[in-house]
Amino acid sequence: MKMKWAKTFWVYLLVTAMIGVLSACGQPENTDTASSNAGNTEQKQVVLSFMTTWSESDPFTGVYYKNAMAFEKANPDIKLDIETIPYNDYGVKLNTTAAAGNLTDLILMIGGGSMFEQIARSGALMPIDDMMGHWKEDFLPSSKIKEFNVDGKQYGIPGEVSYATVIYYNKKILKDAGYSEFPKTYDAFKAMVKDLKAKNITPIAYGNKTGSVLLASLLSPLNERISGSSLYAQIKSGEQKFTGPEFMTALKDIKELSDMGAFNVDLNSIDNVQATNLFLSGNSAMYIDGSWGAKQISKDKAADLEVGFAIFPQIEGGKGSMSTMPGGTNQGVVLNAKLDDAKKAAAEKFLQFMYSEESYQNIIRDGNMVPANVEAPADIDPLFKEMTGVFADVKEVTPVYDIVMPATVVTATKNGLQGLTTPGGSTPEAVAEELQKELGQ
Amino acid sequence: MQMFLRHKWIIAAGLIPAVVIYTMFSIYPILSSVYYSFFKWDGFSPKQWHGLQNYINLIEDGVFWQSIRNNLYFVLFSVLGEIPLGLYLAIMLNGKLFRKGGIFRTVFFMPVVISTIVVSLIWNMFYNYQFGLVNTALRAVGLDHWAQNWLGNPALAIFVLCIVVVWQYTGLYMVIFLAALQNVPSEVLEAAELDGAVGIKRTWHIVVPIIADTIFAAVVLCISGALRAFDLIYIMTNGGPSHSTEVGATYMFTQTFSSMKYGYGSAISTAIIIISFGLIVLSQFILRTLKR
Repeated sequence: MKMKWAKTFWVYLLVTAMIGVLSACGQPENTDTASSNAGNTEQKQVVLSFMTTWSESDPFTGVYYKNAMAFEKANPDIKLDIETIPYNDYGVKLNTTAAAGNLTDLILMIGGGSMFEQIARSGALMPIDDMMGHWKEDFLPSSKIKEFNVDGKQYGIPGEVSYATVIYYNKKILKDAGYSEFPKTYDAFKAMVKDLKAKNITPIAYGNKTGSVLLASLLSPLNERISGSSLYAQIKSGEQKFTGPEFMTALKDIKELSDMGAFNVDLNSIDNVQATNLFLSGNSAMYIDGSWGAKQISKDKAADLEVGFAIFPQIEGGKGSMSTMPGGTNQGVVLNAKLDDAKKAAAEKFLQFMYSEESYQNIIRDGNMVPANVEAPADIDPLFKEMTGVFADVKEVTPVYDIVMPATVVTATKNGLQGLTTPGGSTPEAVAEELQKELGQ
Repeated sequence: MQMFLRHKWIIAAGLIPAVVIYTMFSIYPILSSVYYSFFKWDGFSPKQWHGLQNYINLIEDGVFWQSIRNNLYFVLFSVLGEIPLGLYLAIMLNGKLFRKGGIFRTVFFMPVVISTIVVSLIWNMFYNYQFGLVNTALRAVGLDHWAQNWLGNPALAIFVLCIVVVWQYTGLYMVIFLAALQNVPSEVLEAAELDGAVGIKRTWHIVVPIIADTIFAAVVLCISGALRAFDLIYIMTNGGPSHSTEVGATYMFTQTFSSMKYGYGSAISTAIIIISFGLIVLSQFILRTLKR
């Protein structure tokens, strides 16, 4: 009996000792790092955590990453702790961290629109109105940065302007088919599509696997040409409906194009990159995507491939015109509302640097259009120069549907458009009803 | 050791860290998900009490039922594809013919260790309409009209994905069965042989009953694995085109994180838990009846 008690006692002692040793192991290490941190603060380095899609090797955002690195180099007292998230996952990540209240110090907003506005209205972001003195109106017109303004408060500054729809076409294929000029009206465009199809050429390559391309680059311009730029606002306010004649016309047009074989058969199973390659390898006469698509085309195209650019054609009897294009302003960095004074000062320096004349010139040189009035550098890509020439006539940028619609409706629209363009899929009526139902919820 | 057994609370104390972690990261999220399912919530604005409305919407939601049906296809293909195939391969490899061929074991097991992302990308290339291996092969032998947009055809896409799942996981069950087969006492087999039980007869009446418990465990693994399917579909088709390859997990994901309906997404996950639990219980019941 006594023996057993003694044994038990020793076991307790052993366990207690082990816990003691384990916690002791943890303790001194903590105090160590604390003291070394205290040593570092003498240099007063401010660390800004930054959630973004920018990465050095990405053709779309590499220039921003390089600008950010140049900022770090010029400001050794500020360090960026960059967390890079792939573009396709960024919305989800942004959403969840914002909902959980875990936003980083600096946050990239890929575009303006409903998600950004929702986060801004929740109070999670810091308005930068007191910093706006760094940017003069004649350098950065307020009309061009309004997408980053919510309820009269400015939260960020966009790095670039992009158009949602550019028709890239293979000059040689169109010429061989008898079209030396790109059609200016939608009817002529459809006739050309039919003609190409009859010649056994895939007219248009689309990479709509994620659903976003048809929404931004086909539904948006169709609606714009048919009903002008205010249709969604009218639908939202209840004046119009998704099931109304104007929106239905756009859906029916998409269905018509799909039925006449205007798209590559696998448009809903491949992504943008694969669709671009289809176009670049001469397997389709056209490729439709946003103006951002120009970069991959310019980078990957064979030297002898002649690419033309066209603006989405006019629809006769429609309310829109070819001088307006759906588009957006992108790549604005916004600030977490919880920043302390030191971090805020550092963030101000960062914004000043990232949206300076020099940075904008780098952005242009990389093949983007910018919201600021900056002289284009002489050494820009000729292909990109040609595209900006074609778009010089566009005077007004109108909102893209996937930016202004609430997330539930965006998801439903993406699925609806996939259904419309799938053989045996949905009818325009069913899609419109589904959207109206989603909007009502 | 004996002392530990007598003082059960010492064992309990040892378990506490695991229980705490499990509760924090598994039980608590499940319960909070059930709680959220009674609200209308977009993740930002204040939650609105929604009662059972999310569940009523769920029952009326055709896409949800389609995703559950797709899940059931996955379960069927997994149980009726992976298990028999795995067993067949295991018996082959355990036979005299391949006894020394360790390379086959490695080859068949390989897909299990490859990351699902890589598997998805490889199979995406196989199924590509223009340049894919499958269509190229069909065109090469003159079956042009059989060439398909495999992943874009709503009637086919889910089955095309099922094939990938079977390809990926058959190796796992093969290894499990192989281990079980190697534990079958050789005396039993020799005795059976003396009694004239050879080939399929021996396999069906002697070997299968001996490793029955392993097979049952594999079936449960298989069902739960098929119900959890997410990554493969998310990468290969993203649930599309137009929901045709949606499964419960992908639908929950898009509703919650793309449409930002946190309440509705939680209702979907709660429903998935209930359905999965039901299926496991059902399968156990069937297997137990079979065993008797």
